[in-house]
Amino acid sequence: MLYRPGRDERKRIHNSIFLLTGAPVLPAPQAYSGVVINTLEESAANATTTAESSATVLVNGEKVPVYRAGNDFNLKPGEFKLTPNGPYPARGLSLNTDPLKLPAGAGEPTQIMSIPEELQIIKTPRTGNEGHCDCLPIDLTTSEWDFQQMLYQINK
Amino acid sequence: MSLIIHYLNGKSEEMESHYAEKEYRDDIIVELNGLYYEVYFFTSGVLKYEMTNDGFFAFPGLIILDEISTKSIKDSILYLETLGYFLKFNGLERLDQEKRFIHNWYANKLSFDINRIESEKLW
Repeated sequence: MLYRPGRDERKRIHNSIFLLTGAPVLPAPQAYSGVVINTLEESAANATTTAESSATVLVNGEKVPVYRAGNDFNLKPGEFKLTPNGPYPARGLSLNTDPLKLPAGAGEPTQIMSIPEELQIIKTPRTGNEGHCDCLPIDLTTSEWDFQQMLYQINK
Repeated sequence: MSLIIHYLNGKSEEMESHYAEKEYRDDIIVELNGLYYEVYFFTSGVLKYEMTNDGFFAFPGLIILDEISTKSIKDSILYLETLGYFLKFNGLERLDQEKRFIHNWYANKLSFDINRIESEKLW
């Protein structure tokens, strides 16, 4: 039987659907087949914090160099996105493990040498662009202003 | 009678490149005959990540493109208008950008400086 829920019921439904306070349906590491996605803990463990090695993300167990299109590390308006129900699918600064997949219009690829320990790089692959990554603060309660200051500290 | 695209983040080459890399564009509002409609453009490839936690993804006015470019966005809007696509939604006489659905979905505010907005009249 079809019925129209009352106001309180609609509010409850709204909260149930969009605030998503329950357990996630798909844990992030299993979301993509064939590609190992860093968990927050893995990202923190694998994020390089010294200048001796390149910043890496874990792709099928292998650490790889990471690149930024051009040399602009300023967040664009609306680029930093957080979801209310957990770290994924948060969005941050775009990077790529494949310099050939970077947009040509943004300038020459810049290799990331190290990142501050407060940052992480997670794989966010697209079809045909498996190397796409997002750089995010490990603490996802970080404000956009503080996140931007961390991005300025990236060593390239 | 008019069909206008409002680019809240502007439509410079820099923004074109930015959103092409992101494979989504979520700063577009369509104005059709004086009524505003929120639309969101994604490639199919980027949606996998959007569904990471929840197993589903839904925005009102979600339009899937093979690539994110100003041309593909304009072409899709022009074609969808001929099909009566926008008549299936409630156009608003006033659309506060902070009332867009994207603010329900993401936890942080995603508003754009009014000075960044650029608009394009298609007809």
